[in-house]
Amino acid sequence: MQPTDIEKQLAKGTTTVGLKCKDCAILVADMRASMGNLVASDHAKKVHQLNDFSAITIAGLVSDAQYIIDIMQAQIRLFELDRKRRPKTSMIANLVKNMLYGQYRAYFPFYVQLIVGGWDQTGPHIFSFDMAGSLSEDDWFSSGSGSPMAFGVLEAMYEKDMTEKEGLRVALRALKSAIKRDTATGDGIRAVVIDSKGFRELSKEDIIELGGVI
Amino acid sequence: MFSQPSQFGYDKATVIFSPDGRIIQVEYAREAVKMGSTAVGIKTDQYVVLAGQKRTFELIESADKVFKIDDHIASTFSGYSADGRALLQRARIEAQIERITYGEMIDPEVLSEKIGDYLQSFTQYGGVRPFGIAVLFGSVYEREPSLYFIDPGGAIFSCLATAIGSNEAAAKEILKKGYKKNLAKKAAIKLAIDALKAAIEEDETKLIAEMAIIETRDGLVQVLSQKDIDEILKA
Repeated sequence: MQPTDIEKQLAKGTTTVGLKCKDCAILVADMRASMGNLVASDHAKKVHQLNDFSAITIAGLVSDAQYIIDIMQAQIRLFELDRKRRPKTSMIANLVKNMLYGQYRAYFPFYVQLIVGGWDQTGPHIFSFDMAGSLSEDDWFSSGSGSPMAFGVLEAMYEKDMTEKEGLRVALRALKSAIKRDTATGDGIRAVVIDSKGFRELSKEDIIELGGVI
Repeated sequence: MFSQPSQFGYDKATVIFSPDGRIIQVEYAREAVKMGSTAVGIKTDQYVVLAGQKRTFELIESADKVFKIDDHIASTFSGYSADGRALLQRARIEAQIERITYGEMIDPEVLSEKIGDYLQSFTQYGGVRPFGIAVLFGSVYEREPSLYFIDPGGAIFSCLATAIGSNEAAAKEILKKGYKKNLAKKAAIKLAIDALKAAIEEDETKLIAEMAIIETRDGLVQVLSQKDIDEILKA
């Protein structure tokens, strides 16, 4: 099989958006998993909780992403047990970065685009990574096949220090744009907010009310 | 009943308990600590002071007694100096591993646990001997001063003030009498020097000390020579 054939067999189409507001971090993603032209799943989970105050969105090879999440959850749990405190979001991002870079240098990079969002004593944070293990802290970011559409919306609509509601409207608008124009994105939305009270997933009703689609 | 542990070879390796539950090799290591030059540590609500006596020998220039582990952590030890340097090198590496892993300075409690775990491994495997040293770590981390004492068996104690090395009991007496939580910088330095003076057997005016002080103000290790200490105490 040619590499391109393999790639068509792998679930990888997605759009995810991470966005920083005044008091919270927002992560949203669609729910479609595609394999080439096939919709492999219409209920894929692409926003995963890491601990009480952080979450990660995944795009790309699902198996790689799930493996990274498993390892990160274990590392964070061990950190919290050993030290009786939570790691800062930047520390979690550092762990992810090291994992990606190590794999890249072993000539088999994890085929993923990740966004980490969280809240700690220093406020809300959004971090993005590439497959080679580079790390950057952003106000907003998007990943996956539909990200070019989402980028356009975010570029135009993002403002600093938005409220949770304003931020969610922008993030959902960006995602809806990708759902409309990217065939590998669709089948509903999962949205997560992380603030000083911790990780919280929005209900379907909340998402519709804020302009999202199911 | 077990007055002679050596009679049955219970002191030959750390993997063997004596019948009364002791690991005799670790106790021998504690004896080695008592031969080392004295060191003291004091933690107040604003300062951490580590100080040690620099022993001088004829025609030999004295070695360092306090060490910087990272920007915010200082250390001193009593016992075999070669063992001490090997352990401090490990502490420095652990501090940098933390920076690479999490992008943050290491919590001194975490560092102490890592060093404690390492020392412990030398009490449970055959073919090795425990480190012949006791270590103090002083630090200001997130504006909180901390002072940890680790013994050759790997046990960790968080202390307000403590002394290790030769004649440590005499130094501890002085610390017990003079310690207050709200000591000023000069008073804390003086208490450390007084404790060292009480511990040295020779003429106490001959004390040459080295000191590390960390203030909550900036949380950075400053290493002071005897000359620096004299200047502060004179002022």
